Amino acid sequence: MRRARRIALIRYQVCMLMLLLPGLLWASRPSVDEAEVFASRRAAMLATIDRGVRQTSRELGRDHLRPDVRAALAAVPRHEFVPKELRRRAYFNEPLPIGLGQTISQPYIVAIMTELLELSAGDRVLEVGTGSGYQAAILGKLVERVYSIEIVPGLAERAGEVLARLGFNNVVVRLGDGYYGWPEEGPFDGIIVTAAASHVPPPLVRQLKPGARMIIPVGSAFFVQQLVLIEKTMDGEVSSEMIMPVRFVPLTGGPSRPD
Amino acid sequence: MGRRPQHRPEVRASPRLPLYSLAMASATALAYEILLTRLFAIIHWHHFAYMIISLALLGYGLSGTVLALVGEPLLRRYDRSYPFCLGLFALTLPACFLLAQSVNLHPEAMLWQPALYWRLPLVYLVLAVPFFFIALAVAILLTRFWGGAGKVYAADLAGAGGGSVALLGLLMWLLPQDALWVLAVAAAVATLVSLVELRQLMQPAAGLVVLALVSPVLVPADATRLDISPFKSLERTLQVSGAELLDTRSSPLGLVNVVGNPLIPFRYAPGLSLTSQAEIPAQLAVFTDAESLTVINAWSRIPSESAWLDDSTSALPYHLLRPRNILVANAGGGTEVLRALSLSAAGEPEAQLHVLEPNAQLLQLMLEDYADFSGELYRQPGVYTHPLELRDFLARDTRAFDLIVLPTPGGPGGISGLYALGENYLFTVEAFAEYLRHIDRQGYVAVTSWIQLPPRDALKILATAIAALRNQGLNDPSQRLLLIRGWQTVTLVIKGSPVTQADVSALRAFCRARGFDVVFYPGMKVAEANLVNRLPGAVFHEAATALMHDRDREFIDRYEFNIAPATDDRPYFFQFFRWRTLPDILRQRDSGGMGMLEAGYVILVVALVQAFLITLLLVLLPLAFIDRGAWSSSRPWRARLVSYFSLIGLAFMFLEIAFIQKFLLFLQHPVYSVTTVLATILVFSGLGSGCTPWLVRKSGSRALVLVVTGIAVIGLTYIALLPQLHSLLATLPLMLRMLAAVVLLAPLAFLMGVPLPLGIMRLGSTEARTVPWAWAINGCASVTGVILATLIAMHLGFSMLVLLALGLYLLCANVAPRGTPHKPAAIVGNQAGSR
Repeated sequence: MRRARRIALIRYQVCMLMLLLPGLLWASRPSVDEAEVFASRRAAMLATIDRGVRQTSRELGRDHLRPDVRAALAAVPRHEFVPKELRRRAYFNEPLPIGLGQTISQPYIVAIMTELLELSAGDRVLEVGTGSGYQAAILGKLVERVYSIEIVPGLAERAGEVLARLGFNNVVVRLGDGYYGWPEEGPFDGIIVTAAASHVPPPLVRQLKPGARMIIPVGSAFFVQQLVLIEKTMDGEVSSEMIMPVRFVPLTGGPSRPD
Repeated sequence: MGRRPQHRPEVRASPRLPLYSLAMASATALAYEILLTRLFAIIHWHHFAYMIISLALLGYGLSGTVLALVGEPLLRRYDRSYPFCLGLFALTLPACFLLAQSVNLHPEAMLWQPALYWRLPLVYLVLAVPFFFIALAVAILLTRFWGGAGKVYAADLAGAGGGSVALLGLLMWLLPQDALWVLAVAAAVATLVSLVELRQLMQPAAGLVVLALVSPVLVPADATRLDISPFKSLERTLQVSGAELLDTRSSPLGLVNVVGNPLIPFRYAPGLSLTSQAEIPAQLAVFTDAESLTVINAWSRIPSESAWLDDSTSALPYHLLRPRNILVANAGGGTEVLRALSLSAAGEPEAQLHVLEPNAQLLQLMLEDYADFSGELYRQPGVYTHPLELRDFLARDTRAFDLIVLPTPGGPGGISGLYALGENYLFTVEAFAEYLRHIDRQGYVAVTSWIQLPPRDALKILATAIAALRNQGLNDPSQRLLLIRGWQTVTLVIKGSPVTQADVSALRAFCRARGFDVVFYPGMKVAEANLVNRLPGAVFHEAATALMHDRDREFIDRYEFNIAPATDDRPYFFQFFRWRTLPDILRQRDSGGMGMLEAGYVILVVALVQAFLITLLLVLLPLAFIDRGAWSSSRPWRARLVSYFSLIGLAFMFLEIAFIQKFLLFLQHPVYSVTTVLATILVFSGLGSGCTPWLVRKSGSRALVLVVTGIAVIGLTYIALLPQLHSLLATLPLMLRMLAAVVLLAPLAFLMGVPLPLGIMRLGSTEARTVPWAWAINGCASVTGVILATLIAMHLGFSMLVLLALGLYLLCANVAPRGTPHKPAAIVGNQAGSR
């Protein structure tokens, strides 16, 4: 009787061990540094962006990103700007929803918008539409100061928190109307309007320094169809250039496919 | 062979056939189907909604499969199972909608993450549940009382027809989300009626009735609110600091929301020049179905405060002439009306400004509720408002206008082709021909569109205008056209006579002053194009030039997007997708390639594939596992059965969709067209079903041939005569036109109702257990038929869709199960067995 009980006990212990084994194996796995994983994903994302830029070199007027823009993209932890449940997709070259009907742009679009602004280290930049705060962070790595305005309270608060936590002390986020820009801090060396705009607010054009550029993505929440680059010449003339971030030959007698 | 329960179908219709409850439940089911389309159009996007609901109807196919597999007990105790199914229908009707709306769907997000596509079938399946129960109830009656299939099908169809009309009435009084609960109660009442009809008041279904009746009270109010996609314009606007919802109106034509924001004003001024320094006035945003933004401007009458209206490309026509007689279509909140009043002679004595807005609720906002805010804009002397669509107005008006202002199609950035599945009769070749007939020799038609890169909308509008001018016999349409663009919008102006040098000078001065680019005028040189708002090349000018010359066909064919002019027969203006561009887009996924993808069309194709897969997996595959060893029918006979019920399912839906669309222009609005055509087809098909036994008695085996021949003859007559009849009757008031549509469609609909009960009666008299099988196949064919019909209409046009449907009906007559179904070896066993 006692023997039978002992055998039962051993069986029970073996069963428990079998159940615990997967957990023990999981716990004893070689530790992987999360930061390293994200860094390697960032590198892969950068390689994808480089490929995209080469593919559209004719449209963008360049076949590679500037080293400082690449460095900024390689340094900013994009996963910190996306909702937790989407972190594993943070470095995919795609836009992601960030809540409140907004998205974080596709990394390739962020890269070329930043590149096209042609900024320098001592510049002051205005961003209208903070969104996740990722674009502001990239700009923060490149310039002296970034002024960012957001009209959705939840987004302004969240982006401000993330940027402060990550130590972007040169990025200021404000909740409010971006239409009139930030006159007390203007004029700016570059303006980026990432919020949907039905037109270019005249006050923003006024706050653009002569020789500076403004960039506006046009499209829907998940797709940027074109980028509008507005330039103010040294004598104050304003002109715009529309950039398609894709390769396309509109068939006006040429071959039916892009070469 | 083991013992298997044998269902012995009744040869005659039972006196306890619960037809009243069936008609009521079918009415509720159809009203529910249309209501779901409305609800999902508000939560998501209209045509996306349409697709989801079409697929949810797979519940009909599924019911046949379940009945074929495990239907024996349900059929034996039909007096219990039938009311129970109705009770479950009543309970799941609101519950499944609430569950389905909580699934996060966004068509654009799906294009990035194809894994999200599997949320779509999840939604279809949840929504299919109520349709499954109502269809199961119908199938139980059809199988159990196959001898009375005509009566059962008649009650089902006639009830459904009534349901579509009842819903129209309901939506005039209630918000769509409230109408849902009314339908739940109606379904519960139908269940109660079935219990009375079958004298089964003490059955479990009675409990379901009680539950369904109290459910509106039990569910918390929060859970029943509409969970609108956060990516829709209304929701995004409401997120902005200071935004407040001021007003909500509902009608069958749409849910209208008015939003104000004193803290961060809207300042909606598309196409405003980069050089403009003008201030935008205070505005209220008005959304229809949580999208389609229009704004009401605060009008102060101070000229300097209207300066912004002169700073966009849309102001061009007012610099070419000073129009006195203007027509503004789809005026909405009235920005174009305000522009006309500010820039033309419209305010002067004897000048007229006709304002068209098909949604009477929007007009009411402008004329009453927000008249003060808008400075009584629509009540100005010389301003006349009409609650009409443009083509409807022009069909009954013979005046010639100085200027016709068309609405801007679509949205900025093209919204990734989400409108692709939507018909639009304002931008077809026939429509432009109509506009040209209604302008004075010195007058203009003006249309402003959003710039898309690569160019799409603007080029399609231009190609359409050119086709219309050529159809008028003009060899050189370029003499009548002017085209300019800013950084965001393109404005096309078509003149009633050749453009003069004075016009060109005015156009140049207008563009120079505002920093716009001249795209085209007769004789323009390429060096003048693409100077201010620079593109990678003079793409608009070169494309416009190519379209205006003889090689336009070649250009359109080779262009990477579909910019061929839309016609009344193929009114899919927003269908830009071309298969051959797809590989290029996918290759450029890592750069901005996905922005070129026209999502609407792709989603339609995905839906079709999903419909096929779900049909195969859930409906047809299980049927293949039925042990047919005991069946008396031969394989070729069953092949005929499958073909027959698939063909009539497809053909019925092809005709239904084709006529809903064919009558859309005639009846002005999709809501009226869907209601009138659906109600007529269903009610008269029901009558046809009811008369089937009589027809069989009179014509014997020739009945089917006679019916499909009748369908073909009437169908062909419609293709030939409907356009003429429509123009002849276009001047009648809407109610009379609806009546005319009923009279026109009734004979065809009557005949369309015959083939299904006729087929079921044939099955019943030979091998009744195949009836659920036939029901399942017919249900699946109907669902795929809806999606397939839209694709066919897009590519081949509605006339071809009707022709195809007629062809399918004629084919039905050839493949109908006929003669003896029995396997030679099984005849003896069968005779000795159940018969």
